[in-house]
Amino acid sequence: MRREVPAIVLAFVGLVMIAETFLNIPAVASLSRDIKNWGIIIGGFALALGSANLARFHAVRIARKNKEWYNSVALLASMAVFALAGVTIGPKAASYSFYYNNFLAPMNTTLQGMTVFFVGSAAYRAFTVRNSEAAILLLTALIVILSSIPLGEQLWSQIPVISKWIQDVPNLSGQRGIIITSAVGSMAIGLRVLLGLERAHFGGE
Amino acid sequence: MSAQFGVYMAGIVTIALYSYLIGDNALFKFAEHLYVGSAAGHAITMGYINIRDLGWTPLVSKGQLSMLIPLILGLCLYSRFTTKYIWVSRYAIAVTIGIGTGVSLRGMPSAQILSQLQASMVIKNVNDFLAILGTIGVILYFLFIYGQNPVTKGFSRIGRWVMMITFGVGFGTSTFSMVARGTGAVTAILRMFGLVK
Amino acid sequence: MTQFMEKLQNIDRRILFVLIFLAMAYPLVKPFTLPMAITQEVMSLYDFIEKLGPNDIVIVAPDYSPAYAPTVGGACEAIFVHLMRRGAKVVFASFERDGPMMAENVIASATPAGKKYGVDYVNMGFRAGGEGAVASALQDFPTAFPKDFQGTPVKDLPIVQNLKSAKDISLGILFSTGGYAGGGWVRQLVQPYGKPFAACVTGMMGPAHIPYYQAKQLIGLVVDMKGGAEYETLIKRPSGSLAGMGAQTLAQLLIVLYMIIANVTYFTLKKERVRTR
Repeated sequence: MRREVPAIVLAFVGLVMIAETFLNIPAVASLSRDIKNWGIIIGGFALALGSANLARFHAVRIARKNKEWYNSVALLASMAVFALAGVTIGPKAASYSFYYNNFLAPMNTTLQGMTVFFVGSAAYRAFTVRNSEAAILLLTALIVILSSIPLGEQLWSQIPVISKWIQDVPNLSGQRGIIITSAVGSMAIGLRVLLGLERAHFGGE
Repeated sequence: MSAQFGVYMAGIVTIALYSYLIGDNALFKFAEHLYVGSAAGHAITMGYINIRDLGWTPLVSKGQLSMLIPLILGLCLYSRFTTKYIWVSRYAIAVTIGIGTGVSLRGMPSAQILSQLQASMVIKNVNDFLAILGTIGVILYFLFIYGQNPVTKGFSRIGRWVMMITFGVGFGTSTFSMVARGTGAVTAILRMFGLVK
Repeated sequence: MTQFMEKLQNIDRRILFVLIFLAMAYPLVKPFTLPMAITQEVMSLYDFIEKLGPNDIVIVAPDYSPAYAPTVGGACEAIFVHLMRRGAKVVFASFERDGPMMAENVIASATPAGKKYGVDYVNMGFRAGGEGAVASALQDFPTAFPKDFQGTPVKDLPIVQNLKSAKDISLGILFSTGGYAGGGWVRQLVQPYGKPFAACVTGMMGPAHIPYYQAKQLIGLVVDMKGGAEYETLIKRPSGSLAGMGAQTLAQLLIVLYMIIANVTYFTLKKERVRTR
């Protein structure tokens, strides 16, 4: 019953969402609207759930004085500062905004921005043509890269023309094929979830 | 807070994280933990605003008792921290996944299958014909239910080549995105040394 | 020759990193601009916005984090300026948790003089829940966003008085870096309401959105920093995206050079190994 009843709830909610589109019944539309708003509220709790899990994990590390536990102190301290500031003065406040833009944002930018160095290093060591398919992939990538910078057209005037054809014909057909087949696959999985045949998302007993 | 203090703070945390490029070190780990904590704190702030504005305020100031349902369901999510009552969280998960599955399923057949098929059936020139061949090839490449007769094999092979070109385009455009993101961090360091505004 | 090729192949990767850093840094310190062609996808969005006016409400969803500000943030600024110049009403509504802060940054750096918050533009904040939240907001906007990011109730915001649902908007624009992205908005805005929609996405996602543009489900597609630079060129307001194209040019050329060197060393050493066997 601990899995069956939630599965029935899931199926009911999903069917209300779908029924809203195909049935012109005000009561169904109203219920669907309300449930969607409930989803936003539950989503708010889910955002904090991840943070709570992180806090629990690192609190245990501090209590056990694990290796480099002082890093966990830093994590919890920065979490507490941002959470308390956000809840009390709000994210629109000048000081919250200041620390967001000059502390959190640069760190987010840097961690994401490091991939260019590793991709560059990988391009140097590993992007070699070992077979015909790799050759096609690399040649296409080179043409697209050169066409995306203004200098590409200066090097050879046909690069943008070839790149446009590649994006408008083979890339279009490949991406379209992916969109259609992934939509079919998603619908199959979605139907299995609604019918209760997939229950992995509920976790163990 | 002075703007200059902000510039120095941004530059210092950027350099601390960039130190990973030399090798894993204590400074990088410390900065990384600061980032993860800050991001988690910001997530709590945003979650709180959603709960307050859509759930708590309508319940308390307008007396909308129906808001008790999502508020209780949301709290049920935290039963995941226990082993005995973890099953309680499944109701919140059921509602969330039901919404997500329902809203995406209802739009998919028209938006992503029929519209795309309709658009691919317009043949005005050779390129459109080639695009249809490529699309059929890719679809057949992914659908394993067909037996391996010469026609499906041939189209699957076309699909494979088209996929290689597609991945090549994807790689080419993704390096563009990576460089763009890299410039953000580089700018923070240059700004700290007064080399850019 | 073989020894040289082996040394070249096994070069310390920190040297590669320094060269990439310099390739990005130099053009930022000494900016240079190069002529740029405008793509059809960006032009069509520009032409559409050129037809908008004071009676048009546009929902702008800045669903990106600070790391992606150099990629899609420049386009967000440029498009916001264009909409302001046309007199259209801009409603920022985000479904990514960093979105409201990104909207604040765009507003702070790009609002033209004479425009008033709450009348010409507004930041409604963030709603959790992914595609379900998008569907909710487009169905019943005041219920999904009862207050703006500052906490002002919708009844005190003139700009959203006539915004009840997606039926009241003239255009939806998404700035996205992943997740359900353009496909999700096509499902929730274009297909049920038939409203025009444009997407501004990162380079990685750009090719995946071309089928939607070709099927006329998108009225415009702005891809990454280059798309932003094209839009800045069109509105004659050079800013971050155009300034970053120099860094793009040098860094991309360096990566191309890396790939060429990788293959030259690989094939040279392979030939040498075959020859000595």
